[in-house]
Amino acid sequence: MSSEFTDRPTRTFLDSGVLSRLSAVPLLSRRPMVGGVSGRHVSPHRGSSVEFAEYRKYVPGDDLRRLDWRVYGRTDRNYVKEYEADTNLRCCFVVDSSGSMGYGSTGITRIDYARRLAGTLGFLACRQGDAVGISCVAEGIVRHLPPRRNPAHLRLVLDALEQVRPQGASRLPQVLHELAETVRQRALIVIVSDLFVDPEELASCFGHLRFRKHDVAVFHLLDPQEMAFDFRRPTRFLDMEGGSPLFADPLDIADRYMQALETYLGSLKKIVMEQGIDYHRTLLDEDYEKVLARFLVSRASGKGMR
Amino acid sequence: MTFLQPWLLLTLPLIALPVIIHLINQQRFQSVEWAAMMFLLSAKALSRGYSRLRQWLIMLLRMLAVAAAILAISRPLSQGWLAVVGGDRASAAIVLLDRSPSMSQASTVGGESKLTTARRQVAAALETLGTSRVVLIDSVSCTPHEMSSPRGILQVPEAEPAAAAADLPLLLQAACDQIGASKSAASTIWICSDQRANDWKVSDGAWSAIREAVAKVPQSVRLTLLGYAEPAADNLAVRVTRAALEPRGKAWELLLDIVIRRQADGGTARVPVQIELGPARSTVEVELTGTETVLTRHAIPIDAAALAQTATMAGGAEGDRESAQANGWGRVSIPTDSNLADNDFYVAFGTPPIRRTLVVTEDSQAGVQTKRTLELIAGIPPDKLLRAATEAVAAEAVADMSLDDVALILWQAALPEAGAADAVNRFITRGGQVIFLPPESPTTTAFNGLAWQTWTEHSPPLRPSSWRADEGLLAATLTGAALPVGELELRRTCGITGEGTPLAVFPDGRPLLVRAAGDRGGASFLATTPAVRDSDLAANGVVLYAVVQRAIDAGLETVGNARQVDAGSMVLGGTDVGSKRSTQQRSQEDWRQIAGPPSASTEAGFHAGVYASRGRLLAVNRPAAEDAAEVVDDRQIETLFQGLSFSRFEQKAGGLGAIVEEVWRLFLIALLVALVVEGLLCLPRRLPDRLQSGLRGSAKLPAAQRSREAVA
Repeated sequence: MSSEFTDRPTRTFLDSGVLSRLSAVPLLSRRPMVGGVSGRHVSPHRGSSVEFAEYRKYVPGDDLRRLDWRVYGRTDRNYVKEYEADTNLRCCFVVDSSGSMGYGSTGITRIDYARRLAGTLGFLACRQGDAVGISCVAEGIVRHLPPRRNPAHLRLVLDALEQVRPQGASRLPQVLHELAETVRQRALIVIVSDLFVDPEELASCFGHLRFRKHDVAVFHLLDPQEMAFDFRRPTRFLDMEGGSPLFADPLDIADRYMQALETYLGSLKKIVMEQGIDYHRTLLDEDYEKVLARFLVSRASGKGMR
Repeated sequence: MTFLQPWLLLTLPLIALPVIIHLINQQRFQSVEWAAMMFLLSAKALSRGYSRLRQWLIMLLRMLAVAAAILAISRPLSQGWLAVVGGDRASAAIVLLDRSPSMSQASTVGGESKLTTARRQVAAALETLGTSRVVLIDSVSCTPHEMSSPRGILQVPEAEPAAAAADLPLLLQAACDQIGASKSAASTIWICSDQRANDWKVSDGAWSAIREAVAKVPQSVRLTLLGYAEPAADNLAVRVTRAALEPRGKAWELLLDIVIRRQADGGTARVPVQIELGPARSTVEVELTGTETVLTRHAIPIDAAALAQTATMAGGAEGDRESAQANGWGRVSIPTDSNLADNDFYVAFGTPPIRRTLVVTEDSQAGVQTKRTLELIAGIPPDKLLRAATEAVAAEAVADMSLDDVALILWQAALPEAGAADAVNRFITRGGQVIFLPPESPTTTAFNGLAWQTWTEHSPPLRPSSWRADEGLLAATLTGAALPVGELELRRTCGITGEGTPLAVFPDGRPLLVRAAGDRGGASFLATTPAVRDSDLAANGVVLYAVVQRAIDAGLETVGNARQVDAGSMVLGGTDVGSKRSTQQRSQEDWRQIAGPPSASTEAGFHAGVYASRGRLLAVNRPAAEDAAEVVDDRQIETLFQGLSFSRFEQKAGGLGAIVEEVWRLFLIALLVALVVEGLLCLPRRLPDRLQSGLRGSAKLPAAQRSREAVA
């Protein structure tokens, strides 16, 4: 495998050190997944893992090898011993590539941060045998790669991440509805976005995804400047998604900006709690390795919840 | 408002500086690409109301701060609380100072008199204004005194209290003359007065002339009245209306009529009145009820021997012993109260002088008869200790005679003309009395506005129907009994024409006795003669005797060796005082003050006290009108200064506030307040702690919350 990657360009958004450190923590699904092959994730079906699930009465047609003879010897009844099934998962990355993702005041733009998060997670998922796909979203689906398990597909996913450019308005809610319908089986939907859309629309999208039994994780990328709104001079704000510019004296509107931000974040918090979304608010000045570690560990500690 | 640095007001356009800076700042905006536009749009939508108002308020406060700073450094002046006053550095200030006794009323706290307060406040105001030229015109001299500095008002004797009343029209006229003579571009007249009606003479016709004079002055003239009209209800004033030395057996008695007056009725009070006569002092308690109490004929026995020791030669060192007269002086005082100027009253008294009467009759049979009658009546004094002398002269001889020691002229001849008229006028002005009786052939010549008409015979004889029994020559006697004027029978009367005060009239309205108009009223016209064919004045001689003797008494007031005069009515001192007062007598004698508060010799006669000259005594006291508390009200004052640039400020005796003061501190405070409020408005709203922590805290939900989410 290593020979396959030698002639490929180095991914600037991937850090081998981070990859090696994070590879110790598996990427687990919080919900049973329906995979095509055996994997590390819980399946809704009984399988052949070593983890006992339950006893079930023998019915004709069951494999006699699964009959528990010890129970038969004690109770003179035929019971079949069942085990948990482990399967792989489909990991779909939904990366917001609208114009607002190009913002960054700390030396790194939101799209760069999204590349690091999605690329690293994708690499880790692929490495543990999960299928990885990606949808880049702006005014529509800019690039879509359905989940595949093979490493060659990962290269395409990484290429897509590398090549995507932030531009245009965001139609994330519509795209999420569309993905909820098009991703046929249960999947881990990882949304990496600034979520600058109406919270009510997001609630609808998340509800739709949950209805389709997808495990939804959200990396909400926010810039520290957006949180602090630390401007002193009158400023003409140019909309990165193509809207009309806005002239304002930050000193005048800072408090109301903060009010609006608080209201928005409060609504979002309520939505993710109601929908059971694995929500991670991420500031761009945070180390993405820590963000991912927190993400992976939280999932690992929650293993078994169905 | 006046400013000491008015040129700094040229920087007032700097008020627009905040607006300009704001506009420049608007042009210096930065452009940033921004992602979270949805929050900005929400913030903008929320900022329409209060935020817009706050922005305007901040702008307004900044402009106010700049304006306050400019005004503060321009050194604004104000009277009291931002009242506008006149005066600037370039103008001349003319201070009209009312030095009348009523201005000596002191405040209950501190004891500073109105006059002192006025001087202090005006001096401070002019000093603050930096007035380059200060001219003081005081109510005594009515002449301008150039001050070297505003502080001079506090030091010169011309600003000290006096006993003479003020004459505001005269002061203002002097001020107009001064403005006309000066070259100042602008003048401010500061009037310091307590607005007493007797000083202001509201009905004086000179006011209209003053208004016209001020309006015509080419320079800018501004009038500022500092009114100290505050009354003193508890103030008492003492006055002696009569001090007469009368014989009592072989001794003498000084009879005093003492008046105690107060401005408001304060119930009954006992006032101890102290009378000082040389070393002897006595006190009499007077019960004061209402506003005025009169103690009449309070008798004080005078030691004849002591009086004889003070005898002086009225006629000078060469006089004969027959004319020797004794005199003395004293003082009547009440306890100290709010006005010290009306607590003492000086009296001068002396043995009565010779009652000298000049009889002028025409050379006719009736004239001879009249002359005899008049000489007889005038030559019999009312008391045997009194001496009388009469002299009959022809009308032509009067012009060349000395009338200094004459008390009364009985004139039964054609009315005086030319030199005789001048002599008689001088005599009247000096205080002498003249009774004119009709000549046999009346002429059209008038004297003091009165003239004879023609004779009218009456058959049956006429009797006077009414006469003035309250005052004048026909007043009732001291016992209250009326003179038998109604019993007179007039067979022939001569008509009297002209302006005068009738003292007795016939039923048909024609006058029997008329007093000529004038300040002194020394000329009276009797419509008949004591000749037998004309009347029974001689036969029923009581009325004529009373009239003649009373006229002699009145005339003796200016002849005796002891006189009472109102302060300001006679100029006793230097020649430069009182030049404006045309009605004043000017004495050529060298009077020296022997009692009373010390005063400048040039103002002798204007200060209360006793003055002596060649054995004669003169008691000078404040005029009776000064005891009247009536003040000119605001409406009347506004009328007096109508059409002029006039402002009035009410002050109080002992007032600590300055008339004009710099109020830059006020603007500095306004500046600070504006800046503080502006700063508070500029403070960004502090975000609630929950919001701060919510935005800045952990980006990940707490573990417990995550668990709940997972379970859900």
